[in-house]
Amino acid sequence: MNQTGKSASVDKAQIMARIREAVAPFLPPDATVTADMKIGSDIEIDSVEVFDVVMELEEVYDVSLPMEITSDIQTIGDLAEAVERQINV
Amino acid sequence: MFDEVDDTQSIFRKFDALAGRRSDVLAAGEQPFGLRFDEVLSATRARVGGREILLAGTNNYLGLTYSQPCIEAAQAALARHGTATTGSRLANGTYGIHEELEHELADFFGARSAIIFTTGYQANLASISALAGKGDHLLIDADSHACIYDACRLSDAETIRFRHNSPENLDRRLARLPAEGARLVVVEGLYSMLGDVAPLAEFVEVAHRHGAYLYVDEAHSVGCYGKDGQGVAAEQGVLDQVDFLSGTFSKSFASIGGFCISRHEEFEFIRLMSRAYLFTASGSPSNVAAAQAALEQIRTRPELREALRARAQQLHAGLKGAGFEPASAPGPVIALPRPDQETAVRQWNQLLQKGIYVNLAIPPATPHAMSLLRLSVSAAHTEEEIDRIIEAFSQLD
Repeated sequence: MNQTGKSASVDKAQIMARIREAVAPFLPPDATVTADMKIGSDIEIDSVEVFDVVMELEEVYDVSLPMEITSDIQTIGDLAEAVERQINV
Repeated sequence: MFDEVDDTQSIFRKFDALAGRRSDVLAAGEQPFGLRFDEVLSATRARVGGREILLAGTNNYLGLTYSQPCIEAAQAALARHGTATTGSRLANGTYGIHEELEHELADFFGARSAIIFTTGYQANLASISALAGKGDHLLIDADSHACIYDACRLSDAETIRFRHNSPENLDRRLARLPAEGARLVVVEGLYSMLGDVAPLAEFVEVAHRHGAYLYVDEAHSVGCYGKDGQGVAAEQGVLDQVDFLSGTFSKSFASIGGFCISRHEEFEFIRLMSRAYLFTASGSPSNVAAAQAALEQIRTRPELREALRARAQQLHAGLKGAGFEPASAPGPVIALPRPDQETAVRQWNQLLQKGIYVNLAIPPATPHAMSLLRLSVSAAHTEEEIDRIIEAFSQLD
């Protein structure tokens, strides 16, 4: 654990796996979630639902994603990278 | 030349989706957003077209817009000081009445500093954006009003949202922050869409335990809550611990304008720091005078709050009896979640046809993408008027 109590050993693949679980309810059962999928168009999810997904990731990884970062997130890959960066701050 | 612009270059292309949604709403009847009141007759009645409408969606909580003291004060200020100040507070726009109202607000809240602004929107925009600077952190309730979100955009601080009305979630987020920089927590006293009240005593404890300042927007609650009308923080016994408290003159104060008060005298520096205070004309004399007269009534007429409370309870109970499930406990704002936008729009039109005006609230203006019929109660409503509103709701399909 680092100074802020966050686990530094999480890699992006693990984060992607967690994101897949979080967005699964918004996709058909057999859909494949890829890093380049656009949030809001490829995955039909409104801004409130995006906020809930982000909140869930923040709780799991014990980080806070500032609004200035979340407003720039467009794809699943962007989200995974943003979470990874906050873990390693 | 713009008639020849390719579709992809049209500056209005971004509005296409909005135009579609507007058409859907208009197809169901009247225009709910910006409905024209042809003549406003009193705090609770207006004429729309050829018909008299009972108003139940105006945020005129104390019903003071037609009170004699407010009208007379505004008329006297208009005659004495003219129609406008034509200048910023820092230049030629500070009159005696601006400073008088600031002193009265400081006295009313027991604050060391009080600043008035030209609108309530600007009160938050100016104060929050100037208080939180580079290297600081803003922590805002996820259901915050648009002006709080806009203030965050204008600020150089990082903004972190926490779960609505959750001191526990705020606690965890404050614990994650680096030690450096100031922290400003922003919440509202009464949330305008769903009418729910914030647990301010818990927010004070959590914020101060983490060395954070607490800013409370009481736009919808000053005048309505607390023994003397100072708002939710006063009602919960923590007014003296709130660091900054903002409000508006456009609801219970029966005017237009806004204010922010603080227990920290350094808040006065906002006057030199804040763009939304510096680069705009000050409130017009008649608006400032009307707000002054309303403040005097808020202080001295507790019967207004008692009437508001009684009518809110009557309406809340009546709507429940008619089969509706209000989103919150009885209060000045009573929101009724509807199953979908189509139902909400249809019922809003039915109500108007029955002579009742309420607010229609649909995504993205609502939390959790809800579609709502939103009512606001006024101390000026009579028991009979509330009964008429309940009767109209009971006939909706």
